[in-house]
Amino acid sequence: MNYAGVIAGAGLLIASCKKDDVQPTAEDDTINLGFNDTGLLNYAYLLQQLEAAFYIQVMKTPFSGMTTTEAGILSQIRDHEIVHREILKNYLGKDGIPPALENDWSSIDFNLKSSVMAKAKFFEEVSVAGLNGICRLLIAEEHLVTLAKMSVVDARHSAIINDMITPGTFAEKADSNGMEVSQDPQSSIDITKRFFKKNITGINLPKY
Amino acid sequence: MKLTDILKEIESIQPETFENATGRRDILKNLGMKVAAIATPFAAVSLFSNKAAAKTTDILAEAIVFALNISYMQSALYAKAIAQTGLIPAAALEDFKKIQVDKSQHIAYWVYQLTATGNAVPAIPSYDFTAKNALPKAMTDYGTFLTVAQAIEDAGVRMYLTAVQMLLTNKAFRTDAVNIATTNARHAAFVRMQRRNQGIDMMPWVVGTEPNSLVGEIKKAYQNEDNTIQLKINTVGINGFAISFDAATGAFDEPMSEANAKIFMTPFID
Repeated sequence: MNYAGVIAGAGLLIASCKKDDVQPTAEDDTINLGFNDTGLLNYAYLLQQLEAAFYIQVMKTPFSGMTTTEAGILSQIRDHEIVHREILKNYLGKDGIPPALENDWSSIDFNLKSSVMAKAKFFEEVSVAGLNGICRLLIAEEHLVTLAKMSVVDARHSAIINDMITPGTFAEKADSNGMEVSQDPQSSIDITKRFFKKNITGINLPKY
Repeated sequence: MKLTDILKEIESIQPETFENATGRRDILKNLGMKVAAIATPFAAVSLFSNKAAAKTTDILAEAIVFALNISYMQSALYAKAIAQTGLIPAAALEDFKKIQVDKSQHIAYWVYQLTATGNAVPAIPSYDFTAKNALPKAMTDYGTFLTVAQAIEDAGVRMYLTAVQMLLTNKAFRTDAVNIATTNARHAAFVRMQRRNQGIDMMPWVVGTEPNSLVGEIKKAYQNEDNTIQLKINTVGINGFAISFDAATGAFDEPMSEANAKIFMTPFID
């Protein structure tokens, strides 16, 4: 069993990793998601941290003109994302990346509905594609099933967010086989990490 | 022998071919899978009753047939509804056509995979969406149609979660199943919002076992959806957050067992 490591200022890798594995290149403050299923679950945890923190902020500073219906839907989505985040936090325990990683919201105007909804759409789509990609790589059945169960609910979120922006776009992401387009963790992390202040690496994660 | 043990055993036979897309066809072929015995779903002797005999080597093909059966039902539901003049309001017609196209693509994909591996493709059953007249207006009243569609969509998400489990040993197939599950979840969310627009208290996700919104046979789509334990951890009020039962159950869909899937689908099959 390998563990996620946090690379501290001195470049010390806390927690074990295989000797022959390539060390992350970043020198300081980089969050390393880790190896194997644990690393993949840490990536799922990162995605859910992102979504939960986003919706918590959305409901703390509601955009101008938020209706009761919008508030009802967005606050329930927030609660789902908190559940997803906290379940992974508890399950990962000491193998988990730090909780409450600080976000970079500089690209979002929380007062503006169009800005918030566009980011909600983006985050849900990144999460579903990312979780589905993780599902391809997980080894343990319990992990696979749990993330699949989580992903279908994020897909429900994604559908309603899409339709709130543009009616009829609830399943626009389906490809020519009527399937979601899943994304491999490496390229998915490149998108996700932009919304965190610390650098994040998935260099040791299993690959497609 | 437990299912997971069987899967491990299969994996040990052909470890490498499970890893790639080309291999997913070969593996079915190499294991000599024949779904003939389980290829006539629900007709008299059903898909499920031959399960024990089929289990040891036919697990992947069996999973595909299981997935195919709910996709068959979903595609037929929308094909019938779209053809029924005046049932679906003009404003929603294009949306349901889009959903029907996705469903037919799911079918085409699995049929292709079964055919390519020399496996039998199950016949498409004849459906009765009134559930033997338990829901007589299923194809004439939009609200009743949506009620049926919601149950069949939500159950479909759950069945695909089961298919993901059954396809554990094959990374390509299991990813296909996850990717169809999330598309189905999008369809389910849309149908549920159509119901909400009709004034029914309804969210795009499943809350508990939906006790107030469904009746009779179709309530069976929601058995065990009120699970609040994930990864052996209680989700209600987790870590001191104000997480209600509704939020806790809404945050996850639950797989539907093959036995419960049969119980749910049987009334809709002629």
